[in-house]
Amino acid sequence: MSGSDAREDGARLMAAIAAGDRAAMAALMDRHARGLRGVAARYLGSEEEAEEIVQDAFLRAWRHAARYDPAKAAVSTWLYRITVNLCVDRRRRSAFRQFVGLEAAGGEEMLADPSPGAEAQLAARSQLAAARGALLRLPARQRMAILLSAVGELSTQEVAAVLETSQGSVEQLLVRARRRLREELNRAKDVTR
Amino acid sequence: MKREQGTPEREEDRALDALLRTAAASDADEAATRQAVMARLAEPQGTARWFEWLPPLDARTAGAAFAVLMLSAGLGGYALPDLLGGVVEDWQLLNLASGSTAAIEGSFGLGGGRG
Repeated sequence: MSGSDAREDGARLMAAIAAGDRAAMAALMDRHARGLRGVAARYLGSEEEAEEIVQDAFLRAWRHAARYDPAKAAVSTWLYRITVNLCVDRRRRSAFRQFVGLEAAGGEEMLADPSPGAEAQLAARSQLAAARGALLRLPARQRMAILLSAVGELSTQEVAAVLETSQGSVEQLLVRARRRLREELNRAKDVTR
Repeated sequence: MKREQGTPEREEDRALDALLRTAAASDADEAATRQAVMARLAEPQGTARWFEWLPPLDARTAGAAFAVLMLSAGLGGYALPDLLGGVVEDWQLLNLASGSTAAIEGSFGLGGGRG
């Protein structure tokens, strides 16, 4: 399916959802849930939180389907935009709750700087675990850009639309993210040799 | 959607992206997600109970939290609604702005002896 066909198809799906068609909603989830979950899970470092985010994103899509404008963005871009906003809100809320003492600090801090315990050492032997850890240590904006590009398979233009920035900025974010990830993964390889 | 632009040109970038896709893969139950969303679609759309994430607070703690919010907004250069927007949904700013203790307690769900 070409890009314009995909957009027209997405627009038809969203029009059906706006009219209350639940089968269309199920089809939307079948198409996009996996990608959205992958981005949210690796951005937040939590499968449980990602599940909540994905459900909330689809609920928002259902409630605001009539606002979707196919002239502005593809459905996937629109959904990723909703998901990114929810992820950023979640992170900000968690940081604030830690700041006022309503939530124990740790989560991301621990993920960002894993202790060299036996479990971490075991996990570090896995290339996938190393990749997940390296992703979590990226600055938030680099992390989101590379996830949208690599996992969401969005174009640079689409990532720019989701992050509300220029294509040039996205390219910079991607270059820095890939360079840093490669450095981290090479270091992890050296440690396990 | 397949990208039309921005495809990594270098082999090592493509390999890295493939690794990230694998790292992001999940064995989550897609059908369970769909069922959960469908069930939630049937729920009435009332006011968001944003305060559910708060533990029970007494009036003093609620007041202190609000003072911290104001201070954070001032120090961080944020507009208070922006700051609150990341913390709560459906914030009853007008209640807080009114300065009424009862209204603030209401905002925190402290009515009915919760505090």
